[in-house]
Amino acid sequence: MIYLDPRFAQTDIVLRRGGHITRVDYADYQFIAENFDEYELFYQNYGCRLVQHPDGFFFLLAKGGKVPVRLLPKSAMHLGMFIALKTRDPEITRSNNRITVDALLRDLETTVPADTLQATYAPKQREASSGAKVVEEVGRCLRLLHQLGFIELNGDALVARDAIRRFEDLARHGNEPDEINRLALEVQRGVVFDPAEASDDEVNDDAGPDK
Amino acid sequence: MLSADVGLELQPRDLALLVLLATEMKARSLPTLSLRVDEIRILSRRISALEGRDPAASEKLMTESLNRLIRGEAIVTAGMSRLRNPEDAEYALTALGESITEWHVARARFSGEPLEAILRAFNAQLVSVLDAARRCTGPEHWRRDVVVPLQAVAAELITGVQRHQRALDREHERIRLFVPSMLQESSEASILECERVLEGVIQTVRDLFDVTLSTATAAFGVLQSIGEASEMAGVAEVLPVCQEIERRLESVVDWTTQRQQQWGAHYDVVHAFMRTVIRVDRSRKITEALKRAVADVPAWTICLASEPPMLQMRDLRTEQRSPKRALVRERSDHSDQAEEVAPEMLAQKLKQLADEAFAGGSARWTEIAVAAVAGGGSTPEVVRRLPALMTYMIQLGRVSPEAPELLKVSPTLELQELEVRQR
Repeated sequence: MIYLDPRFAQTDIVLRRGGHITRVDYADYQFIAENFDEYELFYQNYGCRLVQHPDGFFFLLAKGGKVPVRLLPKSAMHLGMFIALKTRDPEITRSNNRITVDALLRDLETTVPADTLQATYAPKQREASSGAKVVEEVGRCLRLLHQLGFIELNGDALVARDAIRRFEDLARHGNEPDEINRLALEVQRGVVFDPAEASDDEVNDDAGPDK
Repeated sequence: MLSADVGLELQPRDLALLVLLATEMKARSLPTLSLRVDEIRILSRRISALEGRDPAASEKLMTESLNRLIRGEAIVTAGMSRLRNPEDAEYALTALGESITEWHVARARFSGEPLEAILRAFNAQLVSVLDAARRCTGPEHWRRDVVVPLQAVAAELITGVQRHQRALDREHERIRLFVPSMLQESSEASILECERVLEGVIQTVRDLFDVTLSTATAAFGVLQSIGEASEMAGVAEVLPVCQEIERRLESVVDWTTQRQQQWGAHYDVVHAFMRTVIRVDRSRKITEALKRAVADVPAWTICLASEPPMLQMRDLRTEQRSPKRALVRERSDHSDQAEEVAPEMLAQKLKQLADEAFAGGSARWTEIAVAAVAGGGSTPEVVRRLPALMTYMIQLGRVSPEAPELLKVSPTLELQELEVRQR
């Protein structure tokens, strides 16, 4: 009976809030890995599924179940993909995988076209005043990604965790998955295509304060 | 993608030739990008001479080396002259060839051996100082044969070790900066080479750590023996020098421990990168797809569980709150028999009670405490002032040698008796 163990409560809270448990959370990770079957049975009653990504980390697939869900806002999605791209650059080994927020903002500005930046991070702003809004939105997204366990945010720098690989799910299929792969991504990874069609009520992008 | 006829299987001789080629090109007064076969032949003969081989056999070895280097894409033939006469062919280094050369040069410099040698020499000197210490007969001998050599050894250790530590740090930094350029290469060979050299670095660091620990432990033992010998001889100035050397040695051990962690972390990061990025995405398809993806607004998202935090209900919180006391008017028709002693007056009152008791021949701690509590002092306030009372009583006279017993002062306080009598 794992349900009376304090680690179960701890991991359950993280998973239900959309968090990811990676190898960095060694004790929790080990606990889930050892009791995976019991976790699966437990979440079955909620219509949810505990998934272990091929990169090792765990997350809860709650779509269609009794646990409330939300869609990750497009700004956080874009930033997640951008951080995933940065982690694939060999240069990152020089800083032991550490990326400063300043460098991230600088790279965003130089790598991403200005109209994409504005449409993603400051869609309601006029172009002239969008710069500050983009910076503000990036800060908010970083806090959200930190809360969900995609990155570790420490002051003015961040380190991507294994869970950042979720943002590569589409890129693994060249950004254009065929019908079978689309279905597989929707069912096994919780991917939602055409998020604009999803109800606005589902989108809860409140990042809240730092942990 | 690598084609079937490409493969980097280099032998030490090939690497030596590659490094010599790069050095020769840079060393010329007018830097060149390629070398002719006859120039390479001279370099090959130089390697054969170093290896102690017959220079006549170097022609065949050179041809084999060049073939392997070409197959591994470390060098390429430059120009069209080869079509006319193979003897006129010129060879140039590729980006991979240059990287391998730089890598080997950097790696050759990275070695912990000098630090190991410094520490071992230091220990040998310490042992000779210990021998001298055991033979010393007077303070002058101690100063000449132990103190002065110890100070010299310490100074030598500090300068030697610090210089080498700085050099090792610089070399590792160079390797750290150089690793990304190796990882950029799509060739499997450059990745394998990167892995191999990193293994070498981490092995050096581990060896360095082991050697530093064992040498420092031995040195601590010798220093302790020198210190003990000086104490027995009554020479005071040796011990501070020994302690200073111990402090320096500890800092050397700390430095090695710290570097082992830092370099180990870098090793883990590079290996994780190779495991999760290079091996999974050799042709960089995922990276390229991500680059294209971030150029547009995302057309997909992820659905996440989002259970709201559990709220603590208001009625539950009300139950947990301690009930408020009802307001009651103070009784004016009632007064306590005991006189309330203000806390700031209590210390004075305790001293006064001690003086009164002492005037009668002896003062007992418990009796004073009982009198203070009975006089209106609260037990916690009296307890707070007992240490000060003890100090005051001890200053008044001498403490009774009788075994103290445990006595009850109030329902919640028991004290061990302290009796002070007149001298």
